[in-house]
Amino acid sequence: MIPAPLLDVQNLMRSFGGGKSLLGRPRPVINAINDVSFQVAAGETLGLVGESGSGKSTVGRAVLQLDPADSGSVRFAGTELTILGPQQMKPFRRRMQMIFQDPYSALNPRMKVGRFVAEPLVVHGVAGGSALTDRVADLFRLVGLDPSFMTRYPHEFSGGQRQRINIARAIALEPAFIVADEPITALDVSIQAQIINLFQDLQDQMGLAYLFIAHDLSMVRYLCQRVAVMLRGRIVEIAPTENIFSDPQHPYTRSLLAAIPVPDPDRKRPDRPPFAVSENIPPREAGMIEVSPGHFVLEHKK
Amino acid sequence: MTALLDIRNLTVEFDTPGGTVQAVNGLSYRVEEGETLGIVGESGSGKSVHILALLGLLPTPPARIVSGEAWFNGQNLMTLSDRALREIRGGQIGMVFQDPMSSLNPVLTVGRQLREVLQRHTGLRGHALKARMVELLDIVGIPHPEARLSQYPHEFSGGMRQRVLIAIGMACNPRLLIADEATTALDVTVQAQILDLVRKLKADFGTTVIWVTHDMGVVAELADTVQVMYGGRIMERGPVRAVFHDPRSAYTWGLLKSLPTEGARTQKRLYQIPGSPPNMANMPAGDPFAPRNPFATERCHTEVPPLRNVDGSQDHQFAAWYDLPALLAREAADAEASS
Repeated sequence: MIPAPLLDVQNLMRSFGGGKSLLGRPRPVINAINDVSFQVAAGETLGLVGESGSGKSTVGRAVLQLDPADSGSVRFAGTELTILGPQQMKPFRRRMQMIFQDPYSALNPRMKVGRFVAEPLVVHGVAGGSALTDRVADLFRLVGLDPSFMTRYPHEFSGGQRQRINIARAIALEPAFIVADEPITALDVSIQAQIINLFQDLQDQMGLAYLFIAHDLSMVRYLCQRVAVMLRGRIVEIAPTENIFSDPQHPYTRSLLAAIPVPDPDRKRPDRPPFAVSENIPPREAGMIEVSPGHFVLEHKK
Repeated sequence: MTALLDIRNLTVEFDTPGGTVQAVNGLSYRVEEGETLGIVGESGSGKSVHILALLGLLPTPPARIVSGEAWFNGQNLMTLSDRALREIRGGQIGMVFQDPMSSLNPVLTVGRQLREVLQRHTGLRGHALKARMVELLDIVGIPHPEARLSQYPHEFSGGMRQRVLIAIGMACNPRLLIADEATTALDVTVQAQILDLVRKLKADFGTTVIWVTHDMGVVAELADTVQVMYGGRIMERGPVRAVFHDPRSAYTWGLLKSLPTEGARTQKRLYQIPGSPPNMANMPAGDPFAPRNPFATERCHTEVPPLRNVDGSQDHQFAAWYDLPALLAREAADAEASS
């Protein structure tokens, strides 16, 4: 096991729905995340993969207390976050940040990007005056943007540059942990490698840990030390990256891996093992089994 | 082989407050009967604009089709009336676009939308019509197709809606199926099912396919021919194997090299193409990729390279003033010498 994880998530649950709709019809309860547990070590990148609707983003938001879980525990650097009030939570907000998928809608179109990046520094009273300007200029350089761009508006930037601006804001308070929710999905292909390299450079320089939520498994394989696979709100497999790819245990993990298109015309994608998500909802009582050190899989039918 | 689609010298401009923008620059290419063409490109490449232009779906203004012909089955699509084009779209040419939310009408049932296409383009009526509708949803892998016909788009998941669009696109066994980023928003497992489906369609009906995507993996899997576009022009095109193994455009080479393939996992950093996609309102004078190209020569910055054949090849073409294989060989030799 990892010694003293930076983030320790245990038995997280979150459901939506319930109650009655506007027309008085009962609304179904959907268990968006169900008994989710994992750890992230300082400086580590954990990949979180699964289909849309599997609960990946809900996990990310619940961990950051943006949309708290119904039950379960989230310990960050030894402190239980789920019992904290807004004021007590504030120092932790500095140390945990989020980067979103859509670099367009995450920015305020009427705010100069320099101010957008400076905002968290102002809110947390970290810097003001010329020190603030200097700090923002440093952040711009750190993410590969010319500091002279500070006075421009979001519409003057390309998608890749906008994502750099979002990253600059996310690292402004020198966090220890970042949830990156599909951060390259909306970017042009020629830009994706640039942003992934930036993530790695920042990790090297700042010792950042990432929860990298993605559906591009080839990028996950490249970037992450460990991978968790989600299906219908549950983690069905979690292991060091190479174990997931070389020795996948859960049938869902196998079908996910077999679906990755291979960018080599001489190599055929292996035949997909048929796997119907609707017929393979993990049973409620299933538990995790450790098949090799650090490689856990949810109990399933063979 | 005969060309099912023959595009000649297509140029599309947009009038914007900032001036005239050239989105497609003298584009010419052919798609043979039964061929699958994969078109790769990013923002501003002209890949989507030229598809919309040839289908008569580009709003004019602000767009302006300056020149060009698009011969399909003996007819020039660019000169057809709206009415004649409507007959072809959804009939002989099936289309699938990226966004299933905005491509389906939210207030009509899926069955009604499927029926509209079939009634317009086929003689099917009554029981035969209903049977065909059920069959189509079944082909694209939608469970309980009969019950699903009476449901509205919001009752389908994103992946299921995209399948409905594909069912509509294939409804009339089109001779040409055009898909623009049709699987981009889908999960990989659903994408794999849809690619299997397209392959089956090709095998069963000999359908010709144009598949626009940014995913090199999808191209490698599905296409016979790949066409790489950038800045409204073709940078390279040829049989998938030739282009993937022996790229001649620095842009194609960079796209392939930046992929996180197995070899890349041992590298500390991914290869990255520098810079950003071109600003269409301010296109470079020469080769549109020159400002981002580490191999660019002086000529690349001033003069647009023509598309020409790779020596000794009939079907592998590229547009570049530099000799990429020679430059890469020299780079490798230099690296060897200095190590």
